[in-house]
Amino acid sequence: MQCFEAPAQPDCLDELHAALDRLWREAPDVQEPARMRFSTAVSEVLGNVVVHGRTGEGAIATVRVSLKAEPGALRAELLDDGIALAPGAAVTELPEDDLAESGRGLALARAALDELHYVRDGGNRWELVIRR
Amino acid sequence: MQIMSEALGDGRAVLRVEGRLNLVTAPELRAAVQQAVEEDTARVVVDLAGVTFIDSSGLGMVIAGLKHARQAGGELRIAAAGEQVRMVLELTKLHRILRPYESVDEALEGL
Repeated sequence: MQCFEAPAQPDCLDELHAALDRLWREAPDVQEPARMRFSTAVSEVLGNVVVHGRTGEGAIATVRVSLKAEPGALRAELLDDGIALAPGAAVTELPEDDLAESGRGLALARAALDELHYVRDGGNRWELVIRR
Repeated sequence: MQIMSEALGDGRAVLRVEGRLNLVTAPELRAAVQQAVEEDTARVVVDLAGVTFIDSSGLGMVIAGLKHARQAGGELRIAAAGEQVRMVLELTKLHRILRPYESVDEALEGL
């Protein structure tokens, strides 16, 4: 398992890639297609946290990421202390406009995953699962 | 991430991108395409052979570049995309509007 905690700023995406590299060294049996899907999805959800991650006081939220390679599944959990997502912000449909420049992140994550859950319980919690 | 720009002298340019094209680095690609268009090379091939990872923000900036090039009467094509880039194009269905050409030479043909 790999974990890190960081301010929800763009730099934490570099930390994510470093943590993923460590996870794959720890779990060399995970095949490349599953690695690609997992890395892509976690990166999108973390990117979403970076874009929206503000606390009620307007400060930058803190995000805690944990990544697990279990025998049956790859799992990620992202917890942040930011304000709740606005209703409708967790859009997992692709934009209707093919030439839209944004709005695909969570749709891409959902398409890459077997499960994507969002729970609001004090903070924001995202759970991502790929079955192996 | 690094972008190297090469003008071919006939209104076409090749932008070679290396590294991760994501939320952090993607705006540089938009700027590079804008610069190419301003320098009268609005027909652009983006060489993705060196891109190890792309996210939706990276794709968004490729779309922004495509629109910018077309507004100037040009076009933007992508070439030599690796496995992860192709997967992301398919999962977002963007391969329908951004056909991944096998190589830079193939993308330059007829551009």
